[in-house]
Amino acid sequence: MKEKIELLEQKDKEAESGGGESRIKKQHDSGKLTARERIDLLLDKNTFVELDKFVVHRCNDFGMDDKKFLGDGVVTGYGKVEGRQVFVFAQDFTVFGGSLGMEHGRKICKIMDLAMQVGAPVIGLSDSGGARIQEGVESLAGYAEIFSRNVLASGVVPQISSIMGPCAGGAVYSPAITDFTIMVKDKSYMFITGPDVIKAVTHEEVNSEDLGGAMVHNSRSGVAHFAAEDDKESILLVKELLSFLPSNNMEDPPRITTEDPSDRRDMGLRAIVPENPNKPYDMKDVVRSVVDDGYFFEIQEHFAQNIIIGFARLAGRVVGIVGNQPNMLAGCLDIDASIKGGRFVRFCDCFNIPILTLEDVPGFLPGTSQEWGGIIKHGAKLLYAYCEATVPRVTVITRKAYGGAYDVMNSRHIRGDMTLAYPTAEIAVIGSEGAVNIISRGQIAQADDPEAERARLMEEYKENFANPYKAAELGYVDEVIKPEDTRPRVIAAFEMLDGKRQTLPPKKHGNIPL
Amino acid sequence: MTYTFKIKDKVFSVEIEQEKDQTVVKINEEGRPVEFEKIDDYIYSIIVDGKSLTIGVLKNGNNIQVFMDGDLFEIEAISERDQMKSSQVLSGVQEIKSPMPSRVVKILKEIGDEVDADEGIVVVEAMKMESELKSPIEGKVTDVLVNEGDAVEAGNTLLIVSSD
Repeated sequence: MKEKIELLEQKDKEAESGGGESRIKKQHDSGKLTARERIDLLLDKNTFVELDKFVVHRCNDFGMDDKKFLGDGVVTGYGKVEGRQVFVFAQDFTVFGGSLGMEHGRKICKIMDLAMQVGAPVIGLSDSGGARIQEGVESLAGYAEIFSRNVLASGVVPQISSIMGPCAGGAVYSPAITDFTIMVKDKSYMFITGPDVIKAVTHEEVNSEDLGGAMVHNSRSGVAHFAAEDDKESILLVKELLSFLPSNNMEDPPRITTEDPSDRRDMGLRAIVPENPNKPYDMKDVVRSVVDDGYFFEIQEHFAQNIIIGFARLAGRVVGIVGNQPNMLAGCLDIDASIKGGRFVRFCDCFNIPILTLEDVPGFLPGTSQEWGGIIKHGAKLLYAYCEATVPRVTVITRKAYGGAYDVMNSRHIRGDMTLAYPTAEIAVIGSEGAVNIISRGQIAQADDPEAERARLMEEYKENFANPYKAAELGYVDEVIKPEDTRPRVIAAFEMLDGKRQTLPPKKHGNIPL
Repeated sequence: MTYTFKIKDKVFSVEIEQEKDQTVVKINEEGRPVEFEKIDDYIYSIIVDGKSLTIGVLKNGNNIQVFMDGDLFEIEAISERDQMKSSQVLSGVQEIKSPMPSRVVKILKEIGDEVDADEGIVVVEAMKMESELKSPIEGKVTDVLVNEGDAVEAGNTLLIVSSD
């Protein structure tokens, strides 16, 4: 018996040493943690149960038969985060550069299958050179098996990816399908084709960081949702994100107790939103004033900053927040903002997270780049997402709600449940200047003093139409509220909507304009 | 889970662990058994080192006021992530970039002017909305790269501020 136990211990030790001391040192020297250290940071103490620790590859080509490492370059298993079950895989860059072969892929698939059966989130920590070329098409099969599970799991259990090293070629599509992607600054990059191939094919010169570094994907492409300073921060982000999410689509998000009173009023809100429609303000100030403890967990803060998205809590309940940002491009909707908002609304709807929309939108961004870029179909994504969502949905119109953008931003007409408006709200087809120029063009032209006439008509229009009362007369605005009452009113609305049950007509799936 | 609190400039890391049937609070790694109970909305009773204390706790976001034995402690709760952030102080040379495609309406500072952190230095307009861009640091304007009326793209550098 003793020898058998010793053999097991020896194998355990071998598996845990990954690619060996010198490679681990190299990993540390480059400012990165090892796969096991990352899992240790993520999971509660002593909760990690590793699976398939002794799995090895079966490739006999290119002299691979005498190069086998227990675990095959990925550490997989399950454990707990703040007491809640999760599944995790962490690629081990010290073994074959974390490259993905058949068995490596199979191990990931196994925990994904388990996660879907038990309804627990999957967290992937990527650090991989890409496909294991020695294994040929088997490696490609490994990727594809993961992709198809990512898709099947989408909307069933939350999937979070943290990119902590290279992630190139087909490998990028797994994180792309998952719900949230975190990238570690200066240590990670993602691209389909790397700088060498780009140079050979298009003669364009670019380095990995500029091509697909953390900030590029956080600010330009919108591929990533968070940029972390280092491995540790990226793990903290995963943990915080999980605190807002249910374990699966059949559960509600976790509820906590809060000492922030539900009836707290904030007179400061009267000062935050300027009456003058041409003055910007920071919508995040409105968010912080309304939500529990002023805490807003923003997502994609560097991308399409004309819309803000993120999680917060109201009376201890998780809500997803979508807000126009008057500070950036006057908060108008464009291609990137529509895509960012649309995907977030759909995420919230998948996982039973009520949505609070804070609206101050002058319309869609005009211009050829937008029209030729397909704002019609991309803007439709946000519209589609809202129309489809069945979770409780409350809107607060702080100022502008113009034109088609008013319809899109969770209006009552597209099954928004409650629309509240500030007295400063202007709900109209267009702003006063545009309206007067169209409606009264002839009258202005014929006037003795056209400019004075235009100004008079604009004032008249503002008084009659640029307010919340026309919409309130029609019942499109449920209640006009004082700004300071936002928190109590919004909490009351979500409490009232707690039991909301709404279904979509039976269908295989809709056809969202992609 | 480890909580981090700041009292004045001192940072304390606090862990609460359940050991057998008692609660152990570890402050900066040093553990001691503590019994506590919530009596009222803001009032707790705690027993520590054989002494019984009644304390009042007022929470306002991350700021916590603790009244104990006639003393008031102002405590700031900081998350691990905040801690990482606060250690990075901006300095050196900062480029003030246009955050969006816009038109430069007004340049509020000239070369050589002193600016405070968070002081407005240039106003840009987009979608009829005027935004004031602020200096992220205290320093001097060392360069102005645009003129009033210029159309600029997102990411164009408008001014340069240096703290040296």
